[in-house]
Amino acid sequence: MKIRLTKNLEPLRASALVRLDEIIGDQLHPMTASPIAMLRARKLAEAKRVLAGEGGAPMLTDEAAAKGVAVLDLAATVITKAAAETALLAQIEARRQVAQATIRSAPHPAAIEAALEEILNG
Amino acid sequence: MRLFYHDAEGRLTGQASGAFTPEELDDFRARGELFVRAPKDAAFIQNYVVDGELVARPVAPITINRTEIPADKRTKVKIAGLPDPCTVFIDGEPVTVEGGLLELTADMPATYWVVFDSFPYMPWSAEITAT
Repeated sequence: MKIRLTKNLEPLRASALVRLDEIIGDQLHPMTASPIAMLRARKLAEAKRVLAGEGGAPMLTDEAAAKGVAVLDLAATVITKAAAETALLAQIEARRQVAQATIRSAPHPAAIEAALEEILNG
Repeated sequence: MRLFYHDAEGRLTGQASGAFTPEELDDFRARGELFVRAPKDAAFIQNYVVDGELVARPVAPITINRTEIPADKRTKVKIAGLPDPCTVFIDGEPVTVEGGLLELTADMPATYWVVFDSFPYMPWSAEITAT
């Protein structure tokens, strides 16, 4: 009796895609869903108001006083940091998209594993 | 005293040790339990029960010519000596093999598990790597 060995890659792909989102989720959590991320979001909103000349920035006002810097300067720093974080988020999402495509087109199990390894270690 | 419990096919299902009285053994029988007295050194996995006697499970004369092949659709793994007919599991999927010979080729690099587990034969398995 002759049999050609092959693998049904669909279940492997499905579980790899779930795992991929878990890995990326772990990377995103501190920047998007942690208490610190929420605090930063409030600071960013205050910084935008300060730069727009609207005031209403109690956190930044206190922090600027504590650091001995101008509120406007602190607001600019907050905006710069937020922009850097947004760029990092975009980078992570781009890597996720690439890994998804790699997993969906992987020709064998080792290629699926390699895509996950790349995300974990890359 | 050591007892091996078994099912109607002779497959060992459990064991117990202790100083069982003849009355206790009769009680086990009355409850429909099947068992044999086992020697101290009797192996559990390698034996089964035939006509009330503990005997060694047969070993199918299975041979495999190689466990690593290129995934080129041509190079063969030959597994011979399988009972005819029998069921072999390839990555968990049952395949009925007739003629005692299984020839495997691969078109995808991966690791494949081939398992023969047909009572009363001793189980046999191989991991085949296609690269």
